Amino acid sequence: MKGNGVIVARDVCKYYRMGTNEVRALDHVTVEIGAGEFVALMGPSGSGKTTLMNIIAGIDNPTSGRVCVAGAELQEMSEAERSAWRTRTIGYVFQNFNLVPVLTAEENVELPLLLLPLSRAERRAHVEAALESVNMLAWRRHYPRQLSGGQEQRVAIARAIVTDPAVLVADEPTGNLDAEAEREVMELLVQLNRQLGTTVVMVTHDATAASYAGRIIRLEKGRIRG
Amino acid sequence: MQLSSYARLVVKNARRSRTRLVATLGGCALAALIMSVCMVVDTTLRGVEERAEAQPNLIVHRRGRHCLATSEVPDVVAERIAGVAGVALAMPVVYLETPCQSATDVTVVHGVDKGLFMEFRAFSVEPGALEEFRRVRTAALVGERIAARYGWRPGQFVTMQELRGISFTIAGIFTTHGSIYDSVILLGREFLQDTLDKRGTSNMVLVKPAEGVDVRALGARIDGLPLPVPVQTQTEEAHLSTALAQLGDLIEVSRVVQGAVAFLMLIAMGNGVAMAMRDRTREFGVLRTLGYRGDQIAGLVLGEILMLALAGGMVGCAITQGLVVAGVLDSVSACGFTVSLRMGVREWLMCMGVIAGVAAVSGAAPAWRAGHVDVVSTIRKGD
Repeated sequence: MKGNGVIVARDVCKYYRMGTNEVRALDHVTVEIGAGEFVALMGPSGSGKTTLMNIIAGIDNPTSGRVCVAGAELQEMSEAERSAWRTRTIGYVFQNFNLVPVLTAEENVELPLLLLPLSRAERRAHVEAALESVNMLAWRRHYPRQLSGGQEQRVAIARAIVTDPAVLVADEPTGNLDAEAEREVMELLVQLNRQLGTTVVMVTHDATAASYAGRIIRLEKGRIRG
Repeated sequence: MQLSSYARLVVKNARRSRTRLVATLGGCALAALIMSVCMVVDTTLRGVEERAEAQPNLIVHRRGRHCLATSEVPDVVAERIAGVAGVALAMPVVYLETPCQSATDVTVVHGVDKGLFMEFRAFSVEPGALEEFRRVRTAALVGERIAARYGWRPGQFVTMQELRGISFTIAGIFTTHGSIYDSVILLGREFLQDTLDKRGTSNMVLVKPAEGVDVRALGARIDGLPLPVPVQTQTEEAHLSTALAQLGDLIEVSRVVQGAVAFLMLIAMGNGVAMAMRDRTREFGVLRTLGYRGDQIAGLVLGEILMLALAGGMVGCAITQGLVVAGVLDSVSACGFTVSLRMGVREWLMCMGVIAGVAAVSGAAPAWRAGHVDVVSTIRKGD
């Protein structure tokens, strides 16, 4: 597929049925995001921004259109291939953090590494580096219930970047945080974007959060506005 | 994923809820305990029949009195049988048991001819003990199982109130290497007859056929003898089978209980696992976003279920093993035969196999569902 971006989506549609109605979550969306960009997807509820992000992350399939992320044509991959690709290429940050409650911070961060052919020492080194980069190394042995919301989100970001992915997708990463924690998390994402060159695609409602992004893509009723 | 990492995740997840952990482990342990007890009874009884095939001896008892405690045979019958062509040896035996027809704690005494009994089966006993048994009228040889059950030692003087108050001194401990006789006390026949005030009367005649003789034809010849009482002759194997048939209800009940326990465990585990997994649906979705495949997540869930079930099963089997070793579950007796219960490797493997099978079946559907969650809907915000 032609395009110079690390993420290239061409004519992507996502339709689904709700009762007798057909809902057009994405309607012929074409977007290209360059390597190292920090992009915010904004729009009202139901505009299709999360759907677009999930399709880019390879956890949802478009009804039609083509999506190429980091050189991989997603629609040509099997489910297993896409899982392996996701481990290496995509880091996912959730609004609700979604840490595994029975695992410590370092064990949560280690989760994606368990899928890669790494020794225990290599995994430990990666985990420490990731926790260090989000300034959470001191809390490595803490369980999620022992952390504040901002700390949980920083651990979740460490988990997302521990495999050194080409693309970091974040679904309203500051939605459950207070203003101070929001600022810390956004500064952290900017820092990772600049220092590691990771492409960041962030869904947000929040104009303050979006202001940290280098580019804002606005969606409305499944289409890119403007 | 490396096995050690997989195992660590499984263990971490299994310990997620203490209440669930204790309930699952306890349930599996209880199920394993009940199943293993039933299996021990079942396999031991079946094993006895297999071992009896090696015994070529014949048993002669009063016709229609299969239970040896009710069979009275004058000693003169043994003398008459000894003269039948094809009979190598005939020995009257007095039989005495604690007053229970079928129980798990029955003591059996055989009054035997001290000079002959070794000819009938392979007893292993210290020569000194045998010598003392033959020399001293009140001496007894005791089987290793019953000695272990009561903690008896050679030289010990024993009075058994439940066996008409008979007293004896233990000359030694013998073994027959796993046969039913390892739970028997051997006394001199005349001493036992005197104690019971039945001089000249035994309960059966043990017959050793001459080599190469057709035992069925020999049995028919014995049954046809003109004797003071009508008798019936059977091979030991046939006699044992008839005795064990009287335990048929026990075997049937034990099998029904095993099936019922397995079924209940299936229902309870399946329900518990399904509920626990429903609570973790979002987590499975998150694992999918991290790159875990559906089969890897299903494997984690199934591994967790199997680990809990096997851990609980091991506890249950270990308790049964402890009960057997401690003599709480010692033997089953019916009509002249006392069968020592054993919990061996086979019973362990069978029980753990059933537990693992039930756990795998009950966990299959929840594991499949965990591996096939709809990622997008499970990670939806605000759920």
